[in-house]
Amino acid sequence: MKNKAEVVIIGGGAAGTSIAYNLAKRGITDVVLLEEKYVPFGGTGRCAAQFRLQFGSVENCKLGLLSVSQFDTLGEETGYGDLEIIKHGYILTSYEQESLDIQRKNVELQKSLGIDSYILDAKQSKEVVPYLSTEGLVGGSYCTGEGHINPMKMVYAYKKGATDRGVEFNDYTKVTGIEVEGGKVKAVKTNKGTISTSCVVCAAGESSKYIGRMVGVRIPVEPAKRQILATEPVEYIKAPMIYSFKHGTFITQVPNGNFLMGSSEPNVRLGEVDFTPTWDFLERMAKLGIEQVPMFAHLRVIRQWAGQYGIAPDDSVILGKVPQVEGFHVACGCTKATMFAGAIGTLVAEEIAGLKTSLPMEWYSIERFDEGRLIKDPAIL
Amino acid sequence: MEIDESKVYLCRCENLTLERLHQLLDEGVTSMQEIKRKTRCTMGNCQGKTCKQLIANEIARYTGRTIEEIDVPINRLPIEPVTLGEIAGVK
Ligand SMILES: Cc1cc2nc3c(=O)[nH]c(=O)nc-3n(C[C@H](O)[C@H](O)[C@H](O)COP(=O)(O)OP(=O)(O)OC[C@H]3O[C@@H](n4cnc5c(N)ncnc54)[C@H](O)[C@@H]3O)c2cc1C
Repeated sequence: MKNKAEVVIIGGGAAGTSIAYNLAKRGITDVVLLEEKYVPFGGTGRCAAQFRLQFGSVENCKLGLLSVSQFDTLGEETGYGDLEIIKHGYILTSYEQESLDIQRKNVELQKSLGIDSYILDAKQSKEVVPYLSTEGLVGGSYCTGEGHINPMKMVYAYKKGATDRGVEFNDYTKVTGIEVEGGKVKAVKTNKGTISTSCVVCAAGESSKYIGRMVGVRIPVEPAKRQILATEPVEYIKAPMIYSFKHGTFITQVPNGNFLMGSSEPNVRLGEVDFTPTWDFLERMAKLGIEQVPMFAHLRVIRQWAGQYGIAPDDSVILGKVPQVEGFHVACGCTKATMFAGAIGTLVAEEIAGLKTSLPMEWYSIERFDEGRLIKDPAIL
Repeated sequence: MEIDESKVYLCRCENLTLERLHQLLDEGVTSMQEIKRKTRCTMGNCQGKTCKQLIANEIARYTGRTIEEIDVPINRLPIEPVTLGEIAGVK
């Protein structure tokens, strides 16, 4: 391991690996990435592999657009190859007229930003998702520019692109402290030694608050358990991810043929990292899943697991410099680091490189919480 | 007699061969957790019940480490596949 670097990145998930690649692409290659376990141990390796454009705020729509444009070329650009990108779209279902009206407004906003989404009635919804039950369904919004990317392949592509350009990755290396002197970052301490640096990026996902504490910065991201299950594989039909605000669930088939589904947790304890899968999730998810897709009754569950959502006050990303410590940068995707990986990497790398950023950093900065500029997005589960 | 490593399947659900495993180990990918994420081994219909121990033993043997050192993935629930209908209590 190097003992000195221009930039040190903490965390080898979607956010950290994308920043490593985007720095290297801009000529900053004296970079070390530190990962406590392996790439990708955290949320990135546990997520449902979906990327979305249908948001209800300019800030989130723009992050989606910037990310997708990067995913489209990433496999080729890095020489990694296929990333299993399938733009099967999302359908955001509505069971009440009022919620469809909100979606109509979101679609108007999306269209004004160049996102090709539209409203479907119940019959049209069934046409795009043949296995969806229309009982009680009023309609939904649908877009085909979004869909599936294999998150493992995504991070390995970023890793390849970065290491080919000289970035150093260290697995099983835990950050234990950060030295700050006169308000400036000086070094990063790990279980394998110390690295002198003047620039640290915290991309530690739901553990980011612990990294923040090392420099006395409060990062308002709290872990909250989310569970997910996979069924046995069946014949693959390209159909959109079913995202239901009413049920608090997502349901999607991945190219291997397995269905993945997950739901929000009613009794989750915010602030606790907990990877234990539980029976009550299986029972709840089975009922909610069958209600939406009756044929699921016959499908077998082969595995279930848990990950954490990083819950921020407005559930959007936190990116960039912090006012208290020079050289400390935050890169938290919160509940969406996989789908926003392209944008997170691009924006944070541009800021560190001193370039004009592709989107305004003040939209996403940590200061927005103190200044009351929350990102208001009605299209987040 | 030489065995043809490209014809020895360690994970039959996801087609991990001995040749591919040795290739990854030679490239320096030596954590079983990472090998699982790169190849999907142990993630198919048998959920590792046929292959996990076999793969773990081979990683340890080939790299000269103990099983504890190679970061073996845990087994996931459920132990046997169950239909969602049975779980939800519907026919
Ligand atoms: C069930 C579920 C489904 C999801 N589905 C989706 C989806 O479909 N699409 C989507 O975009 N998002 C989804 N998410 C959210 C997504 O998983 C996360 O937003 C994303 O993975 C976070 O990526 P990250 O790079 O910020 O953090 P992580 O992937 O969690 O990476 C952070 C890394 O930092 C490391 N780390 C922590 N502390 C230290 C330390 N002290 N020293 C060194 N390393 C450290 C960790 O080991 C970890 O590997 C889902 C989440 C869950 C739980």
